[in-house]
Amino acid sequence: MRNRFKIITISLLFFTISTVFAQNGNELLKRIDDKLMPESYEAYRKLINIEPNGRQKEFIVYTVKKGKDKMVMLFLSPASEKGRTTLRLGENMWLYIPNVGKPIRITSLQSVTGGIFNNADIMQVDYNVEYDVEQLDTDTGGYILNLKAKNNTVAYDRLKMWATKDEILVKIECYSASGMLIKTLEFKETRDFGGGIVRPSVIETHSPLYKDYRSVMVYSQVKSRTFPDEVFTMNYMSRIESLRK
Amino acid sequence: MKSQLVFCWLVLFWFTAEAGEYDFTIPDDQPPETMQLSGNLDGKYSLFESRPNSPIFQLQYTNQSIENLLAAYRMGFYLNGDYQTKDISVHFRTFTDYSHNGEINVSLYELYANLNLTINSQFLLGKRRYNWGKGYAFNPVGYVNSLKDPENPELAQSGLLSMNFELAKSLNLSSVNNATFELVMLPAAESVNNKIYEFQNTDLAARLYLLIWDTDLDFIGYYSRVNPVRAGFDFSRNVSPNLEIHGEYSRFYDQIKFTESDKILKSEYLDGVVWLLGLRWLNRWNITSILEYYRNEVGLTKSEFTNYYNFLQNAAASGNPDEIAQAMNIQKAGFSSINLMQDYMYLKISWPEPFGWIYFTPSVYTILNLNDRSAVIGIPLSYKPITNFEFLCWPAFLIGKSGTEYGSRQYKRKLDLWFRFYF
Repeated sequence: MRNRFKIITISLLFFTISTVFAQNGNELLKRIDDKLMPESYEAYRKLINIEPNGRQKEFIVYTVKKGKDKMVMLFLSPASEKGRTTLRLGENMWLYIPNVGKPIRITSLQSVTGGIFNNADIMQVDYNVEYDVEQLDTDTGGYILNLKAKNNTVAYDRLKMWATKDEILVKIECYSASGMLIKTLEFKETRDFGGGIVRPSVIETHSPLYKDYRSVMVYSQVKSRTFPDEVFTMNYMSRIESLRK
Repeated sequence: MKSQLVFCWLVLFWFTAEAGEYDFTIPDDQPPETMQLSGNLDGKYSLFESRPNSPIFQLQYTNQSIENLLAAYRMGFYLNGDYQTKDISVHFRTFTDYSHNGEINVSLYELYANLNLTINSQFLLGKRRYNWGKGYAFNPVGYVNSLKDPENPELAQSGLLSMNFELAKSLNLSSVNNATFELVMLPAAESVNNKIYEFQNTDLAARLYLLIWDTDLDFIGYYSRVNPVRAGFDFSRNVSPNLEIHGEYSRFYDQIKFTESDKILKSEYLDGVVWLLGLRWLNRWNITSILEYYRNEVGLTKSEFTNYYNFLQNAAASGNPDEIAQAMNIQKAGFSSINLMQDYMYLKISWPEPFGWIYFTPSVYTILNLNDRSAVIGIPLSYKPITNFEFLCWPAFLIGKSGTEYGSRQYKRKLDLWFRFYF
């Protein structure tokens, strides 16, 4: 009887500690998300795919985000991609190609730009929407968070995330369900964009699956701005350019 | 002191170089309200190996002696214009085709104006391309779509003269996230003296879109006093981060079906169903596969196609100019659609940059006629070594026994060499 009581007490204690720990971790993850980007914003980005021979392919995109999981992105250059638009609502993603004239559903592991960034990286929504913190550690540099995807529609099953003591994101390693390292994202060049937005302006990625390739995402003109919900609908995809007026 | 100065210069130089590495200019930042032009120039050289025993080939080139290997050289110029303000926009798309015999054809693919009535509604007027349905190669619910070439579904096509009203609503409910209603009014196809048409023959198409439980769902209807009345639905859903499934189902009423009997084009009006089921899958090697099954109840059966084939063959063998002209007219009137029969399987596999061969994307596709086991197989090889330039080498093979759909086409093999410059 006494042994059973001990087991129940220890189990309850373990459960309580894990819950508090997870809560703390999830709250920290939410704060890291909040520091990374305002809830609603517009931004210009350059995506650079660097090939093994040193040649580069560049794309410039206009991005608009609202809330935790609504994002739309318009390609401004090069000419062959101009007008293409991607929309993300939670785990749903679509690509609109002007010549085709309709949005086509795409998946998060595809890549509309080629290179190492896939659609989930380019159209990244808040990490706390897709992941739960399983384990939180600290070291001299700051925090190390081990994240697990909330469901199987998320692009990466697990993330290992490094953040500074100021809760600024530094590095993420992305793992498949089998534990294989898919890619590493490094957050660099912290910059003041004005309006209280201080965040890394460069994200660089490399992958053991794409040896000698690199992809870089550079942020410019990040501004806090609110948009109506209807901007994030499939019918609005062909009209995103009007938001720049 | 000197060494400190040199160090300061080096540090300054390093910072300047670092800042430059990540700087970029935003195209059309605060763009002026002017017409933005874009487009592409295509040069296309095609080689065809003819099929002399094809009855359609024999009818087209009666009493002409031509070699088996044929060539064509065409230039295509796509010019697009977009004028956009906050509330209105005007768009046009044109296609100019220039062939080696000096013939120039200019086509107005799209010309429409768009008025944003509110943030969630718009009114559209003019000639516009619609692309309804979720299928990649076929669209059973594409009632207002331009005729799509299943071998190249992404090619720009001409639109329809129409009036269109769209109303979208973001609902943010747990089950339904978005809803959109679209109403399209189309003038009747038949006009009086090429100028005016009877109002009662106006066609109406409507589409209700819902994003429900992370699934795209469209309910689509088409009403007409002249054309077949049709209604159906489509759906699309990501079942995992690398797998999407889609489908379309359409029911039609009084759809005309042509068959040939005793050298006469017979027509009958049928009710029936057209449907499609498909998937798009990305595997661990970054290979994307699209697989679709298409079923059209109003298509020809194997015996109906055999009758039609025999009719063409007899007309070609007769050498009689009247019979040949009649056969050509029947072919154009009733059998000119891209897919004539009932059951097709479409498969496309594409692999970007295989084995580290950068800028190169090989693909292979097949459209398999399941009724007579004939097929078309294409291997588009795309190479984009320079920004805004694409080179396509595209061999295609039409395979099948004599008397089958693809085995009776005019050409056995073709090779397109396609150069595309974007601006």
